[in-house]
Amino acid sequence: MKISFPIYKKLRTKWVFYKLIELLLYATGFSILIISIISLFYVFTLLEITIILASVFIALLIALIYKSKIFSISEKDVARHLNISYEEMEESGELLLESKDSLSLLGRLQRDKIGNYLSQIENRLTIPHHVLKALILCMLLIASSWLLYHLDALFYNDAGSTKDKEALTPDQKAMDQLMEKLPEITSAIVIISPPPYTNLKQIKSGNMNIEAPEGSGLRWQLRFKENVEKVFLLLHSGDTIYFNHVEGNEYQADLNLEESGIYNIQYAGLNGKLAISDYYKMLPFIDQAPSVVINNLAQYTAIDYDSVTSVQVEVALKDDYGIADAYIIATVSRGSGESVKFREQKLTFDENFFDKKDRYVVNKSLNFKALDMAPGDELYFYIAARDNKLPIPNTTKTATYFIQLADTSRQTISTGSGAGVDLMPEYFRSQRQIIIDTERIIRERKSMTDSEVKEELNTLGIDQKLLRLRYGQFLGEEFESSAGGFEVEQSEKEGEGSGTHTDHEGHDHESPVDEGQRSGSNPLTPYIHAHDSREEATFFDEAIKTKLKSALAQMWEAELRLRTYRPKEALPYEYKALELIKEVQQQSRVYVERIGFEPPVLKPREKRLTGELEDIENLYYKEKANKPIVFPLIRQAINRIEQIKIHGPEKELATEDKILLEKAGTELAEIALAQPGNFLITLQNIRKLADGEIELSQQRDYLHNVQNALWSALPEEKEYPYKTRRSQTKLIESYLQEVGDIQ
Amino acid sequence: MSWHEFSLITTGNQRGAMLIIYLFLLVFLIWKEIRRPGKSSLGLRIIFSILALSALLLIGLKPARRVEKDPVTAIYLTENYQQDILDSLLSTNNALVFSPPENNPEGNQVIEIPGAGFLARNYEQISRLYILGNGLKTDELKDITTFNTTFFLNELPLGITGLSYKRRIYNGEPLKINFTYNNENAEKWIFLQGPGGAVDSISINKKGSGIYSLQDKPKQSGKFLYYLIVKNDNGDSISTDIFPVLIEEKQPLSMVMITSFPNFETRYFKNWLEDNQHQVAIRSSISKNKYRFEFLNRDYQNLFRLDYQNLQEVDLLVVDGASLGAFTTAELEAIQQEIAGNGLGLLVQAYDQITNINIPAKYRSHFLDFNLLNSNNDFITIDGDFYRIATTGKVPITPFAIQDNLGVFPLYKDKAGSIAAAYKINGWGKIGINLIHNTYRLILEGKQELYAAHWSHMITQLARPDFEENIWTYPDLPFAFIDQPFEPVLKTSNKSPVGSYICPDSIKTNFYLQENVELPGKWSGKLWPTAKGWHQLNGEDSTQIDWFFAMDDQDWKSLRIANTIRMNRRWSIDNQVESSDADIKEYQQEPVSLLYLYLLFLISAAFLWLEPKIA
Repeated sequence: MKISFPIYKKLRTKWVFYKLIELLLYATGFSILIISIISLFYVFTLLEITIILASVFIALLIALIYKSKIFSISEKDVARHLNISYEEMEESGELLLESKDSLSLLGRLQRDKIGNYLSQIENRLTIPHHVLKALILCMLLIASSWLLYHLDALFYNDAGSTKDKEALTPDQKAMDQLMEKLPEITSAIVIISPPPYTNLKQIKSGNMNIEAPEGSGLRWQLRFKENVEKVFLLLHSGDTIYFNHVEGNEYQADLNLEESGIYNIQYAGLNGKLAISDYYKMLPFIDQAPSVVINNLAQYTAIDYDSVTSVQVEVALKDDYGIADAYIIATVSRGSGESVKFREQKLTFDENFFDKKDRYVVNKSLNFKALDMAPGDELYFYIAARDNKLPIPNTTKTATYFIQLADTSRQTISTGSGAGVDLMPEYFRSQRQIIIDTERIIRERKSMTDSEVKEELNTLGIDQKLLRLRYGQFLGEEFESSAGGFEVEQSEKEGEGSGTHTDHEGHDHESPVDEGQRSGSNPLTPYIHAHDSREEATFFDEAIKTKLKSALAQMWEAELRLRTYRPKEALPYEYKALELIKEVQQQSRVYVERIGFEPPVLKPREKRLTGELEDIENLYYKEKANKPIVFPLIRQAINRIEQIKIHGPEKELATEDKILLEKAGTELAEIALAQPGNFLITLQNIRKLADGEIELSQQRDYLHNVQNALWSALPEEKEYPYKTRRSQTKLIESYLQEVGDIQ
Repeated sequence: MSWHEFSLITTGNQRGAMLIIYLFLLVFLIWKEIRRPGKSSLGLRIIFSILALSALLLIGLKPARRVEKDPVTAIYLTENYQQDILDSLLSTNNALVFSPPENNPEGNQVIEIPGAGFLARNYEQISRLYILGNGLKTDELKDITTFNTTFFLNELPLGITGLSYKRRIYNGEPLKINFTYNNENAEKWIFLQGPGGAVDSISINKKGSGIYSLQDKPKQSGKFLYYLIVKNDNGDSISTDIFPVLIEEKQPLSMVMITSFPNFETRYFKNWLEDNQHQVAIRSSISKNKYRFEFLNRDYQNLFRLDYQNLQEVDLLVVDGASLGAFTTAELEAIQQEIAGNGLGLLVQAYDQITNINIPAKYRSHFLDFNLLNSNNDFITIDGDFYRIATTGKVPITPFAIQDNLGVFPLYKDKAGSIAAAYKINGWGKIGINLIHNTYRLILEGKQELYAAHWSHMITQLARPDFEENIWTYPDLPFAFIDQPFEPVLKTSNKSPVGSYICPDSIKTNFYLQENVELPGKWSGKLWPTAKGWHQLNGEDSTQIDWFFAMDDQDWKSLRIANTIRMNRRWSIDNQVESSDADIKEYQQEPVSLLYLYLLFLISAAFLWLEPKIA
């Protein structure tokens, strides 16, 4: 039988109570920590959280109670504890739990003693517990859960591009505060000053959606009820334009309208709260280049020279603001083949374009005579026009028009397909030089000394001789070639030394003839039938050779006269020689026929695939095309809106849905940039939805509109093959088996 | 009274079993009586044994007697019946009138019953039944097979009375909805509205019923609701009906191309396929036994020889004539088996006369079973109209045309009717032949769209489809209504599938499937959705998941009424009684009282018990 001792019993209850509180604290702390860790990875509703929290808590508590066995704490344990804690117990605490009868006398005495002692110190008895420790731990755990939760929010923000969020949507609270505290705008005006060349008037407008000619100056004027800290425009490009304080509470900002875009106005009150306006668009009208149309001409016209002497060109010019100038660029081409010549001319119209109207019809008569055109010539022309845009005008050129004057006399000459080779050396050309020098000496003879004249004439004679010898080579007369050259030098030296020119010269010019006669005058010649005569063995045919010979004879005569100082008499011979030489040059052009290349015959059938290929490797290629999903967030948002539309009563959008909408809005903004007019309202609606500004009764309509716009922003799906579906049933299979197609 | 007036209520199987047991027992009892030493009243004992057993047998077999019925005429009122028909029927017949309470707004003297099934169970004596109004529901029709029934059905209601569309489509595939609209004499505007807003509309002036169609081209996959909105000419909305559409992403294909030489056609073709995420492997011969391999969007694989293994993964094999001729017999066999047995697609690019392709006759009859007609055309016009595209383009063609024989399905037919590409079905797969070549010219001419449309059509037709072993179909309407039975059918090879569906609030419910007796593998079930929204349908092994949308019971009112009327009409034609003579006698089976048989058994048993004691 168990005997209970009241003090022990009280202490035991206390002990169990303390333990229980400790366990409760532990369970609370740990379960909250566990929940916060789980909710890092999953998102729960409040109800779910409560249920999970409760079940984790209970599970933990049961586990802890089971583990710590608190209910098995007995009075004996209390006694044991007191034995250890109080020396006065004399290790006899358990005696109080024994029945008196079962104890010895000594035992009974001791029992009473301890009993008395205990009842004396009853109020001072303590039980060990760690409640404080548990409480601190619990607090720590809750604190760390709280940290974890906020850490989560921190990460989430990072992933979700906090920057965009701030730019697009100030949070609701701030917005509310703004509504109350922010300075009100009393008036907002945009002054649009179109560029002066457009002749358009300045416009004042309260509409912040701006559509104006390209290059217009924009000036925003905002008037507030009270002073504001700062006002600025935020452009789609991310640029910020601050407003200048003008006077009172008026602010203004300027911008030149160059490209299309979106902007909003943000301002901060003196308390630093930022207010953001709706998005507005800026759309410039691009100044178009002038249009030029030739009314009365076809692109190609052929005209008989005799019948018409001029052509009238009628041109219609049009521009959105004004034409500054227009002119015709005409090119006349003459001749054909390689000898074609071009002449370019700029022709102006009679109109001077001073008043810069936006429409002109101008005429120009193209007179062939004035253009110096002859039959067979062609006239190309185009018309260029320039508008009054500043600083860089737009210009337009028409296509090129052709007018051809028919050439009645032209013959077609078919030239052989040969390339000319000029075999004549350049010495030939010095015959003309000799003539010029001769004429010069005749002219200047009076101002020169006699000896000078003689020397010059002599030198000229030598030149003439050299020339003659050169030509002689072509006729096979090579006997004098070196002798002449050498002797010239020698004779000059002699001339300088002795001063007796006449003899030497006589000898000089006598000697080749002698030699020539010596070798040439074979007494047997008339009697021999010579085939391979050197004279015959040249490139030239008989007619040329005859001419060349007579040219040589003329040169000989000229040389004779020059050396005998009778330049006037030499001149006719020189002219004659020149004439003959020119004739020879013309006649002796040599043509070489072109020969085609004939490759050897290939035998593909025998040769193909017979090569040795052991060392040739197979080729391997591997590629991967990545096709990114276009506008993933818009797609996600469309599907999510579809879900929201079906399910549930009208309630406020969940935070993640708002974030998704915002992100889809950022993607839409990219599209909106290209076509600013289209998605502006949608962007605004998305912002309103994300800010929760919309009444619940209207929310569905807004979502519907946003979904429609997002859908229409998506590009059309491209056509490509895909895997179809087919049901494979027993019936078809057995049919195919019966038919015998499959075994 | 003659014997043919008697019949047995029990079925054949039960009868057989009872008879066998009866015979065994009979033999045993007689044998037992004979074995007994005392032969005094053997004959009597045997007779009584036989009597006792026979009485037992008859009790089991439940004999019945055919009895003439009293002719009773009944009228059953269904929804929206016409009072004047009821009145005229009542004036000529002395009939009982039955109706569910909700169908009798006129306050006629009727017997209120919950449904036609109740009638069948409790009023068997009815010999002629008239049904008025919109008709009975499907399951009620099954109950009234025992009656001689005549229908007086309403005309089809005004509004949408017929609807057909594909409830599962691929993203980019046109969504076409065909519907019948029964119009009164007024102008109507019908709009198709989807997630992209109102996308198509039609105006109807004509009085009476007509078939119309509206169309949209989806841009995004997912589960979407489309709306069919009818407005009158003032712009007031008359009805808005939801139809759910499941838009799925297109699945790319895996293709192998074998060419005997590298060419531009292959080059442009593979670039296009690669850009569209298809897995393509190309083997081009560049010299004897030397190849150029290209693997696009996929891993390397040994393609020196084609075999069952590497063909398994392939959806479409594209070969030119020369490559086909170069295949070994083993390769040809593998290709043929894979086509017929597993649905591989084969496209033969016939740049040449196909009779020049040198393959064994056995395979020729499979792969090149096309008759070519001579033609003088070196070019064929790829007509954009065929693909609903504005452009057309001219491309070279091998100067033949494919003969339109039985079993030849044209893939591309020009306006003159000559077939330039066609296929034949071979087992589970398809074998196609293409005479058109150098289609890359279309790309060079800037007609990418036409090129894409043409090849998408060709490839999609030929490629191995996704064989769905388990597939849900909704034979009635492709959507469900809250608190109305919805009967999906699962086609599966699974031996004992169990259906389940998940409500929008994620609660999973099982329902049971019954196999069709005539078509094994076709299981039908019935379920009652309770909430609006998308429901997920699962087969037991969850290989096949499908979705259906449950909407308010008020939606598609006219369509459902029209369907009920049509179904009743059809049923009445199918179950027409040969002679509609009113004097025909109605019989019914009346069970013979079993008391006499019990008595007979008792007496026989008593004798058999008493006899040994007396003797």
